[in-house]
Amino acid sequence: MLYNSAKNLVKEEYMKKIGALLLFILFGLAFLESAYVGKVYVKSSAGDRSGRVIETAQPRNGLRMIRGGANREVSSLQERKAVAKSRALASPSYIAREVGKGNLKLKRTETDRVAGMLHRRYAQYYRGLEVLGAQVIQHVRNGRLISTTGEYYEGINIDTTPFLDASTATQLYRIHARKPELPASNQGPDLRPIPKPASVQPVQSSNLSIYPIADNDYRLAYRITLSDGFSFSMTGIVDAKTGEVIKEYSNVNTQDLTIGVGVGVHGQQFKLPTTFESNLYWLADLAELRPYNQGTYDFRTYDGSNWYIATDADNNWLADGALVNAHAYMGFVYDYYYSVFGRNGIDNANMNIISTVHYTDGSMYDNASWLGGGINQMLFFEPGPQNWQSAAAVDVIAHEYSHGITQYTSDLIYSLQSGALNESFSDIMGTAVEQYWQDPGQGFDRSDWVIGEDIFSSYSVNNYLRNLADPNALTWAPGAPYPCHLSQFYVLPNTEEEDWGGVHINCTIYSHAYYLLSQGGTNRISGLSVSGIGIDRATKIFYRAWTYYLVPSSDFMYAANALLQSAYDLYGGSSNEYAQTIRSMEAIGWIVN
Amino acid sequence: MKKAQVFIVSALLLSTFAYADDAIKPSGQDQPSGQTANAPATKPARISLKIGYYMGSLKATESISWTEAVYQENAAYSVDYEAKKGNSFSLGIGYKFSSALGVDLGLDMASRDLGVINSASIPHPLYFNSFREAENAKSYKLKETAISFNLVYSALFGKFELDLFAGPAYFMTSTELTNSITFTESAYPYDTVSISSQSEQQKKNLVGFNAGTSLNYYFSKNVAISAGVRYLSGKAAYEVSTGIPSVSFGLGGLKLGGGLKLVF
Repeated sequence: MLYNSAKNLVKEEYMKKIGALLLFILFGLAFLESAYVGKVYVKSSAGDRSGRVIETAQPRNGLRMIRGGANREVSSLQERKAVAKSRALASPSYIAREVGKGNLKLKRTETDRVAGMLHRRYAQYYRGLEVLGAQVIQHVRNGRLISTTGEYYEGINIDTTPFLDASTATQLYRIHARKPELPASNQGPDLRPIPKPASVQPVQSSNLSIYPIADNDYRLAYRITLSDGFSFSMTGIVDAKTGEVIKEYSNVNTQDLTIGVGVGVHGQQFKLPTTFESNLYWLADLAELRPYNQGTYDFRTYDGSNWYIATDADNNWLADGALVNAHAYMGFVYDYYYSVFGRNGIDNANMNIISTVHYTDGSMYDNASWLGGGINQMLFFEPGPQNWQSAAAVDVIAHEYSHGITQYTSDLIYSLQSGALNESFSDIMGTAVEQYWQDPGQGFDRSDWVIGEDIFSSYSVNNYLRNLADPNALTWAPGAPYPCHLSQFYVLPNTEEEDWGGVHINCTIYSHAYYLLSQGGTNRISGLSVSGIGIDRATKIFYRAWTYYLVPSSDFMYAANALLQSAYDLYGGSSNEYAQTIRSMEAIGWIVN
Repeated sequence: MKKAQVFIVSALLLSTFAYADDAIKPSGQDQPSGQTANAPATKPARISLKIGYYMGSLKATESISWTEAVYQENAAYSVDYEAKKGNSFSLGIGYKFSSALGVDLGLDMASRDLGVINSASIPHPLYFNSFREAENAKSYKLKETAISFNLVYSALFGKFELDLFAGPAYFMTSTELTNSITFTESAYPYDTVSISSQSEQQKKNLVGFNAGTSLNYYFSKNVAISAGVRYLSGKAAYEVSTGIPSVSFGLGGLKLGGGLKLVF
């Protein structure tokens, strides 16, 4: 009896253990089935008879992906859970249950006639709100499920009561998405932007949704799209609790942008990013074909208080070559700095680029200028008494543009030696831009080593403003050649009448050093020769010194040391580039120890 | 035109089966089928069924190109097709109304791989004469089914029988063809583009020509193995889409193969 009782006890004990084991297995399976929290990539094939499932799963703790079929190795528990969930989602009955629960809703059915397939696309929902981006697609052929793909978020658990209502969220996003406006009329010259941001209106109602930030990080958010109906269309995901713009993206396809065509002063054809509004084409890139706003104004529209962005009826800009050149070349200069130096515009933050052509302040000038000090735009005075077309020359436009870069980098004071350096670097970069965009040679729209040859109404090898290759070849006053050596430096009073100490005169000393370093040659005064290292390397050395080393009060000696430092940084102390940079400084009169 | 083609084919089929109906009557001959030439002239009728497999040799290339105004210039698109060699499965039913002459209705089904290279040269939005190139490759199938009605001349050499046949063929073809190419470009500075192509199932029916010869060897009075060569000829021109040139492929081609022939 005792024996039997003991036997029964042992039996009961075994039964309990087996029961516990079964329970453990059941709980384990249930855990694998439902406890995973995070994003599940669903990619399964029903064609694998062994029951293996080809899927990818992303565990919550990283971006590791599981791939493959028969030889797939699934290592971590999280990965196994994700795979298990992926398998579950590949089951039609599971999908049907999820649809029944309201977790999935059939979004649309697509018929693929070519492949003879049907694709059922389900959107994931959580408590009646769409989970943005989460979809599961069943691919069916002849009524048979072939595969299931998509993304599904498991374990969402957030409060779905918004703090902000839809109109408040829309208002917040409207403020956030407002594009930067062109200068208002109270800043210097009175530039009136075309009325754009005011017309920005929501084109569709705001939808309250669930937005997955990361696995197990979900936000209650409004999806809001704003559009003005032509070139501005942004969608923002706005946190319904905090008002934070979590994400936004543009709906503008560049192929929809307006590209005009124009003919420059010297007959060259250009593409022009323009804007169509009020039945007119405006010489303005407000859709940011290049990543900033650009407007080109025509001072001939001045009505006593304002002047306006140039317009054209058919986007064929044939009437005014100066406007065409200014608008196109501004873009070319931006492209050069972006391509060669990775620079984002004048301030390296894609500030607006504004220019006015045919400007006059009552006097007749032949000039071009960068207006800094908060106005930040370029003016092209033309035509003056000499009938120059200052916007027609890409080196002149790059010159003015580079003054803007100086303002946002070294900010060289515009007088005496620092002012001459300011002018010098603008000439250097103007030449570098011209060499980049134009084929070498003589004639209009050809690259060379003189400044401003394209502003003249007729071409001549003797028509230019300054000569980098041979500064002495041109005189700025009778018997006074532009200098090419420190010994030729002109000491002039720091007055406007005397060009702030001759900034446009003494600048040729350093621009000549740049020429020697780039192309090689012999300085007329010192007789020293430099072996050219090529324009690309020479420009990098000068750009680096100009933008990173110089300070507002830098003088000629400071600049020489900055150039040596720049060459050393870029190419090393034993490099030919460094040696030739030293040589170029010696050629213009420095003694380098 | 299509109705007329269908009518002709239907008439041929009906007439064939009308002959076949007479021929179903047993010949009473107890000779190997290869010896039908010796059968009495009053009962020459023989029905034959053929099943075979042919290897095709026809390989065709076709290129089309078109342009479209993009960014004040012309974007150039092209599609290069290469219809590769393909094999075909054939069925036939024949009726002999004399020892040497007969008719034959054949069905030839082929599926050829159609390699497709879609390419585009897209102007830059900001500069003239600066084009971005892109291409993608696709693979489709060119399916062609040919129903041929042939006049057959047969000559017996012991257990061997030589058939010569020729006649019109009615082709029914289908294939997927590129009907548009669209591009998307990278963000500023727009250095690259990628393209996606859209395709459409196209069908084309046409009348062509079929001729060939086969050598049959009779194992018994009813069964022979057959080897032969045939030439199927046709050309299908597909009108793909407005603004895109039509695409033409040669069909059939020279085919070598063999199979079984059953006679009753």
